[in-house]
Amino acid sequence: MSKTGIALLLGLLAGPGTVSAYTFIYDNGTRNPAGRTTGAVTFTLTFRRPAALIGDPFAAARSAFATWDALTTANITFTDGGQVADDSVGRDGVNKLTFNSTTNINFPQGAVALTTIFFTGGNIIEADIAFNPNPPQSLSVTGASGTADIESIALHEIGHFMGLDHSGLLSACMYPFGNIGNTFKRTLTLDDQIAMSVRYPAVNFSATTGGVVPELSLGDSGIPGRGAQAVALGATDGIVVASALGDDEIQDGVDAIPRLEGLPPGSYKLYFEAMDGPVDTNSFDTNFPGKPFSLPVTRFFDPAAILADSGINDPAQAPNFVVQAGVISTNVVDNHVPTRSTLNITTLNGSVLPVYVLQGASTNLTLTGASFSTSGTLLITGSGVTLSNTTITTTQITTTATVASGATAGPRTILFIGQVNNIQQSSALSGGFVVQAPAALATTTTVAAQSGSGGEAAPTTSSSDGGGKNQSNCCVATVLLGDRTSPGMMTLYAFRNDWLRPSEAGFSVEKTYYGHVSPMARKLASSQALKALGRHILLQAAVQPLQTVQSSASPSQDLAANF
Amino acid sequence: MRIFCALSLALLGVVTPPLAVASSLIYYSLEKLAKDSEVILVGRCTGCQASWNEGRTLITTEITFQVSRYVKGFLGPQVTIRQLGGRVGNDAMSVSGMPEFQPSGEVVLFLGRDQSGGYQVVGMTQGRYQVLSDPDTGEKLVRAPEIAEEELVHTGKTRSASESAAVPGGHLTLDGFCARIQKYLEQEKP
Ligand SMILES: [Zn+2]
Repeated sequence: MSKTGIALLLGLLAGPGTVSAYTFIYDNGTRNPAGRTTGAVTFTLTFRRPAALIGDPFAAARSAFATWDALTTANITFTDGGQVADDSVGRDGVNKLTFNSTTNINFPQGAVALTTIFFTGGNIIEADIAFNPNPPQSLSVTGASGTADIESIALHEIGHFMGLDHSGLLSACMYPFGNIGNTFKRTLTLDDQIAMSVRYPAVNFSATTGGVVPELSLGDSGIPGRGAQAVALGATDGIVVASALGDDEIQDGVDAIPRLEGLPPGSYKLYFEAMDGPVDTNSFDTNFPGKPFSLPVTRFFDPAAILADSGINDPAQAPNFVVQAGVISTNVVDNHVPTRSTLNITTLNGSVLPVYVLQGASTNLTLTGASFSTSGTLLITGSGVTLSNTTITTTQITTTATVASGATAGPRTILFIGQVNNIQQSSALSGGFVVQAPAALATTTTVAAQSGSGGEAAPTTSSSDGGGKNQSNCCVATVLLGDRTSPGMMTLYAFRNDWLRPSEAGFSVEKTYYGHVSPMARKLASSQALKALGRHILLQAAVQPLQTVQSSASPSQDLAANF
Repeated sequence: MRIFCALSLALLGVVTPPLAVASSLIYYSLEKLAKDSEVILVGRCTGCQASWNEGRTLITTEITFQVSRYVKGFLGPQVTIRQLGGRVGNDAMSVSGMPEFQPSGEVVLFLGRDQSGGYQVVGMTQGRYQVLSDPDTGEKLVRAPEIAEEELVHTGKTRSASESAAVPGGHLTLDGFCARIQKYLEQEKP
């Protein structure tokens, strides 16, 4: 093959398809939430891809950065710094995402991905995201059955990369356990959005949102509600908006007074939930180092409560709390002394992951846990979800949940209320039941289809030429061949990964390509005639010869040697 | 209290234990932990020592445990694990999901080998169960919310939350916890 032919191929191939409770991480030196001094961050991907993965993991990673970048309430901007060869993780001045990080780190058993963060004086000076090249869970770029979706994982890790810790809401992207077999967590929930926006507020964010610092005085104890999360529900629709965790004296010397900030103005019902499973304080080690304690009670917040009250467990009886723009209400204290709850829901359908149900559909739920009273009540917050055929034993509840077609979409809380030892108690799975609008599901399917089936849509992404909000670039070959996993594209990718990238020359050419191809791709995407012509040339000149070569040769260095 | 601990560590010349936040993990039930771990032990953390690697690009921490009991496997009276993250001077490296250990804190640890052949905690924080002490009886307890009601110890059942906040619900005694692990391991035997 001539050098001219190789150069043409490189131009077409090198882009990988440039498609592109709440809590904060604490620095245990300064005792402050750690964050970056600026929300403008350049990220870099490394070249090597997960073994045996079909599709484009780099596009998935870029898409995750773009999702955070598009958040208008947060002052964050990700710039795509292109790709580098060095897979090593650590402090080298580069904020990196790598799929092949075993060059210098050893993953503990069970970790799919992790984020390393360097602090100095409470400031994050660098972070790297490392996917386990030998993951305990199969990965995909489609969220196919039995796999974890790379884009969803990347979205979660980018939250850490910017200083967010986990959320105790099952529905949140920052929940510690990822979904399997779907792409629902490619979308940021309100909780995730608020967390990032509180950390890096856009202009006017604080002025247009409000909050509350709900304080459980637990009377005489001096042991406030350490380790519980406070959750804000929409007062009428029962949708979980945000959660915050008590900070365990790290930030302000006072235990467990969660700050629910960044709430859109409106009416809310607030409750405290014990972090007693599925998420517990073990998942928040920087907030609760060595203290596996949690407020042992779940109940609604009632500033009017008096000591003799038994506490409010039923959202229908809970008072509304009005949040006003620009106002954070403090010194809001519930003085009731609750009795410790033994009632506890710990798993949902044998797992710790949320259930997603379409409007108009129904599903069976099985909850396990402890101290379920057989005369208790199971409910899902808000209206529009009815439960039937409910059976309760002391350790298991089964029911069928039916979602009305007009039910408000969004995450809700599964709540069980029962009498234990003659005292009313409750337990919640916050964000455990997510009502999906068909449109939302269709959007998710479309995203998956971009990498899994045909279609001419030019995938959008940030790229090396900026990465600013609302930018759209594309790869020439992807535009011409349409789908990133079409046979033609897979042939080109195989060439790039197996033959081209092993050479340093290939790396540098690929990097150069980024800087020049986007305008060409946009031009092609705008014209059907140009696309048809380009597709013909590409298939004749590149794909078919490559298919012949690939089927008759092992991936030696023959082609790369032409450099 | 935390300030006291930090000062004590400084005086002892012990580096603060590793920072930790979490990452994308698979979920380990107690049963899965028991079966997937190579070694399960009860021990006390006796020291944490963080250091830079040779190129000063990574901080790792060695954590040593004095072992009082093995439930599975055997590694001798002292066990040292090495994990990513830690603090050296003003520099700190936090690694999502790594468990943090308090010197003298008693824990049940589920260990597995990483690709270097060294041991790490399985499932990151999931494989570390802290041993609590009942404030009234001194009995050792381990949190186990997923265990069925009838087996659990409900310490302070009639006490208010404020009085029993140090011992939340859903615990097994340490002996009961170890017996439960044994039961899972028995199920594995042919
Ligand atoms: Zn995480």
